[in-house]
Amino acid sequence: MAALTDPHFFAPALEPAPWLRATLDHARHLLPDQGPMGIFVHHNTLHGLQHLPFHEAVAEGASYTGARPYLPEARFRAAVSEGRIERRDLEEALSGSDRPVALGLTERGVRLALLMAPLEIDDVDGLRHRLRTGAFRPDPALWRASEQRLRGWSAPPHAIRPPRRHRDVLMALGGPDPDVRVHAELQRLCAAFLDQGQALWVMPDRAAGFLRAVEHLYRAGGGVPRGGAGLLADLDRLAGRPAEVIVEDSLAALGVDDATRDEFVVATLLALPGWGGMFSRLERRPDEAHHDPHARLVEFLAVRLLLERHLVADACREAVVPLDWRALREMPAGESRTDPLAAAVLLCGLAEAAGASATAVEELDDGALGRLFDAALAFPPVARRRVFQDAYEGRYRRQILDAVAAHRPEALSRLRKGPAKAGFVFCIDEREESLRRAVEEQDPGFETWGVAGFFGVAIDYRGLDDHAPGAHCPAPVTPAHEVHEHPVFPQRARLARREHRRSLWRRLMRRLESGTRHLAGGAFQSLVLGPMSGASMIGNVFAPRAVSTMHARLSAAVLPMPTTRLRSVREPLGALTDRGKHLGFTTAEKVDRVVATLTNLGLVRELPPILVIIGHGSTSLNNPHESAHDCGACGGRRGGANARLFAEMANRPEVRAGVRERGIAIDDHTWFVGALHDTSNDDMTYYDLDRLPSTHTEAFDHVVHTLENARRENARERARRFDDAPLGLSPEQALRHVQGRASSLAQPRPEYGHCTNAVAIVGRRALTRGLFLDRRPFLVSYDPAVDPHSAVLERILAAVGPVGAGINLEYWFSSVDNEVYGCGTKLPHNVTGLLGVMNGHQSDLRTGLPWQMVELHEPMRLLLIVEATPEVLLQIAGRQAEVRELVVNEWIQLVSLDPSSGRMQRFHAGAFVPYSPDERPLPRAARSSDWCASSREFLGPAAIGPAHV
Amino acid sequence: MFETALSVSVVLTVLGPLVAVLFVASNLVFMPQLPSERLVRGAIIGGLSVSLAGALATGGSWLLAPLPAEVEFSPWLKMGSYVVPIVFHIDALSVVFSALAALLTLLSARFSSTYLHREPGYTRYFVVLALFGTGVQLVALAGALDLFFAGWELIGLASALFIGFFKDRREPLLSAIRAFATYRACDIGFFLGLVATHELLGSTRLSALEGAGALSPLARNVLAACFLLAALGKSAQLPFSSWLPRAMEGPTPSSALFYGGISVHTGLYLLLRTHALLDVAPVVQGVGVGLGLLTALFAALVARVQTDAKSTIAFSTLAQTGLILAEIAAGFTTLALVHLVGHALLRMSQYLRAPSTLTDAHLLLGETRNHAIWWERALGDAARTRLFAASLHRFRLDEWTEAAVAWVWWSATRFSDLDARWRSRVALDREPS
Repeated sequence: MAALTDPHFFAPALEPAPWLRATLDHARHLLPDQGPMGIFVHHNTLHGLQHLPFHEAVAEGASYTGARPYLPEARFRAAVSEGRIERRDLEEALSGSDRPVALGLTERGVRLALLMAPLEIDDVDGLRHRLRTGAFRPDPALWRASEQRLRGWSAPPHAIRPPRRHRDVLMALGGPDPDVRVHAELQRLCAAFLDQGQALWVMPDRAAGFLRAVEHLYRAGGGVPRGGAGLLADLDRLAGRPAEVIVEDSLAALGVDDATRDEFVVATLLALPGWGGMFSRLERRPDEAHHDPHARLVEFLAVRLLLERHLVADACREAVVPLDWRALREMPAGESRTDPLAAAVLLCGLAEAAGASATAVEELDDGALGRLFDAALAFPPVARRRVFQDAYEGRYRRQILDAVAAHRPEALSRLRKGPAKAGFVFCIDEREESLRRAVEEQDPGFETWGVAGFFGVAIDYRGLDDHAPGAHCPAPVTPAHEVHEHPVFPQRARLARREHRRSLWRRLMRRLESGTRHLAGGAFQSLVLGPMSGASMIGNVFAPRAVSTMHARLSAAVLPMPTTRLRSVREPLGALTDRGKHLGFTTAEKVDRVVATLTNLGLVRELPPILVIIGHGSTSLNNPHESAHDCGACGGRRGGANARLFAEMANRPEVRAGVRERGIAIDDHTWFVGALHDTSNDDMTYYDLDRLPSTHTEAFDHVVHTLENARRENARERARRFDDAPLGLSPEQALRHVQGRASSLAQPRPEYGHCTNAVAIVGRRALTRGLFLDRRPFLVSYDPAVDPHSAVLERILAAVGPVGAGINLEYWFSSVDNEVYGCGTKLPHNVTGLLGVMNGHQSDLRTGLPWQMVELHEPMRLLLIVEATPEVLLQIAGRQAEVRELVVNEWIQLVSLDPSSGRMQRFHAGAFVPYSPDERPLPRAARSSDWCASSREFLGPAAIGPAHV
Repeated sequence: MFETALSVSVVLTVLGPLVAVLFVASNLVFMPQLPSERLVRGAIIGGLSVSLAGALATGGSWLLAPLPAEVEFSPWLKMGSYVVPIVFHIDALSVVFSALAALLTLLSARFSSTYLHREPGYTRYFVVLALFGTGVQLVALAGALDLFFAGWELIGLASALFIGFFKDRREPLLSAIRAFATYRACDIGFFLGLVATHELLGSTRLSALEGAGALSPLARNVLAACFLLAALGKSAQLPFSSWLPRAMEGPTPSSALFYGGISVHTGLYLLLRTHALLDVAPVVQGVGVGLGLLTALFAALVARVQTDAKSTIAFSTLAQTGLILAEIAAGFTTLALVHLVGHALLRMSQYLRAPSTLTDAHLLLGETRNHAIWWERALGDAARTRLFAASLHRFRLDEWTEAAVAWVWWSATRFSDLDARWRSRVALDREPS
């Protein structure tokens, strides 16, 4: 092996200098933290800045990454004119003193005027254009007076952001971008080094780390870039030195001193955030790769600086500026002043808002004018957008809180007595809200619950066709148990046949796949298989649903699926699996899990005779982001196995006995059924129905019938958001439509995912039952009556807070700046290294969510409404650090809903403040479809069903 | 009667997409609001369906009477003795290529109608796609080089416009310019060939090329070389390969249609079409075989180290087009045509499925794959690393290309300077001060 004979291979890794370690940690907080994309776990895009208050973190993130901090002002202004934001929301969100400024305006008045008037003073060219074309028409007298008054007067300056790297200065001087060549080289090297199996020929010496692998490549010749003599000389000079030394050497060569190096290094790493982030992620989580990637962020930095230093030196020489960063950084950057035209527009607009006369404007003295401009410039675009953002959220918050308050009396009057006819336990996912509503609309005797979709069983699961177990649980948890799917005894032969055929098929596929890249293989396939793949492509494009049905039938015929069971029983003395996990659960462990989940749900007495446990997953074709649609609580996998396992455990007599001992009145008559809901094509799969007791046949028949109707209704409610589906589809047509979407190769929007998420409601379903919430809330069941010590609530919030916020904030950032925080449009995406996607033929690794997933999203921080008193919530926040961080730093909006009185209090600026809802009756519709079927937009809450019981 | 039917079907094949473009364009011009997706999609898919129907009808009528036929309309242009005829050549080759192109274009349009939903530039995309539809049918069916050239240019233009589809990003625009510049540079060959054909053989009709045997060996080879140059650019053969992998910047279905399906094969089709000329130009045949095999070898090596879905397919495509070029140049034209058709179908479907790479890889995990093949194992460590490095960096072809272009540019500037100086001298001679 080359690596072993290499003298540098055993060179000890140097402990980095403390400053470098701190700097790298700083960078890690700002780099994207997305793992390989086969498993997509939603997380707060700025998770590393969560220790800061939300708005500060947004500003910090924007300043480092160059992202937009909030939606553009134009979007917010449109929201104002559409009534999506009301004036009272703006006034509530606005801060500012009542100190008089000038023209009779207070500081607050100046700010309000800037918010309400269409003063786009930042886009001077746009202003000029609109003035010329007459699209913007100020009051003529005021306009003349403003221009007159401002003649010979210059607005106070505002500072320009200092440059962080050589490139910033070189570009400001109008030179070419040195990053282009650095990145072209670096992207290719990173992709080759981190590749998880796309290339047939693997980069040599990967095990020696990025730096050594790259060094070997360049030293071997054959790949040195033109003009790379300096690079080779450096490699010779620094041969065998650790990455840390090379970093320091390069920094010294670039003249970066102690004072600027932190900023310089962070900015350098953020120049190519996708690949840098992947190095950082895989360094901490090598287990997420198929093989140990030996990734170290410091080596990425070292290679980057080696590539960059000579190019930058050349560029500086050409631009005749010093290479030394200390000197270059001090080059006068200049300052910026408000453009005279913009100043006139500003003054004129303020005067108009103040109702001032033209003479008053002309007679303003210099002091007053200065105060006016100071006040306006102290409320720059970012501050304005921040207020808009708060108001945008405030309006929705009012809407929801008012609806919940208005619905409460009716909800309490309808509380069910006695057990439900059947119960349905769903994931808390907001996509299940409409399905739950549809089920309840079908039969008032049915009841639904919501709990995190791994149903309290954290497992590594290996299905019949999986080659290795995967973690089915929320991302931070590491399961201690493994569960496998097995065929029942008489059908083992069938499994053997299936596996044999599958392995033949896979080998053939693998052959063909790599064969198309070989000369002979490619020629053979063109001649023989070309027409076949052409035919299948034509079928796929012109009749996706038919082809996918045919495909399913064919594979059922060729690869018959045996009847299977989950092996959940753990032998008390059983050995650990080769991955060091317990195989299955002991009875006591099962009892623990069943009790915990049932208590979370508040299902401790009067259990219905049938409880369907429904996990969810999502099917789509040709979609690199498919996993992002799966269950977040199952770590970006499907929740079917968890539902099935939970049902299997809870149906066991010995487990029930234990559960009863723990005070849960579980009847022998109750039967659990595991199921899987596909959120993309609205399919339902039920597990282990062959074990359903015959006593339950009729009742379950009714359940299935209801779900069949409900999933069609659900499809209809989803279809209204797809504007390539006609409005007014029948439920059956809608189902066919969503099935078509899920089976089409050409469909970039198989479903809209979490696009609608906005709110999380932790409390009794009774409070929200019969309320149309438009697929926007995470609905978490929680009954304060069975939780006197708030232990259950603490458990729920510790899990739901971070998971809900993670999903919500990923959508927030990806929709606010889809190019920086998201990954842009899907259309040119190109899967690379099995790690993620890039744009077109070569680019940075694109992280975050694509445009097609977030286009409808309204970026609002999660509104978390909890049925608990403020005292309880504060106690829990005191104990749960992450919840506290999210709440106190306002990454989520927490509202306490008093269980007994229904009083609401919102956590704001460090304390709970009472909220008094507007008392308006809710609009009412007989069925959900009556309320929503004719609209494509987000809809406000409505009461569904007849007015009186 | 039969001939009228044939003329009608040819006209429909060629003009169907163009009429759709004119319809959409008139909507853009005369209607107050922008055309809806529905209207654009309906018009363009309609036009392309007409084109496919026409192509199939043309093919059907050819099957009924399988003899090469010419469909002639009144000439496009007459300048003294120079006539630009509108003539279509119907034979096995043109019928097959026309049907294939019409089918794949329609397929791509159908795919795109959902794939591009809500994308800014939807109308632009479909208009360019239909322009390509007309261009490629002109190429497929043209009976004279002028008409062929018109279609050829439409294809090049459409290709560049699709590469630069995301016009707000930098990379796509640079790649579009690279592709377009390559096309234009190589089109010099086509243009010279076109003029020379007219001068030497008296007509630009394809049938006139049959008479190339009567020319001097030098003239034959130069003429064939001109068309070879054009074909090398369009089909991205060495030394003009550097634009192809960079062309993956557009939406997936356009990449599939152009660089997997049709456009990348039109260079080869040109050589098949002008084969009568190539047959009598042994030097060019030799060069073609050499360049084809070299491209195949280069691309097959590079394809092995590619780590992303689209570049992998791009280089695999390049390898096969290299082989097809060699087949054509060596005279195996039927094999080449079969290879071309199968290859276009294969690659197009691979491109369309490129986003599935992750899912497919997940299914195939656990299958051991044999990374090194025999010749890699046979190499020593150092040589292997060296070859890997070279392949990873695509033998630095991009940079060599850029250097060559820079040199050409520099020489041209120098030449232009010299020329200007010379002219000023001449002018001075004439007008003594």
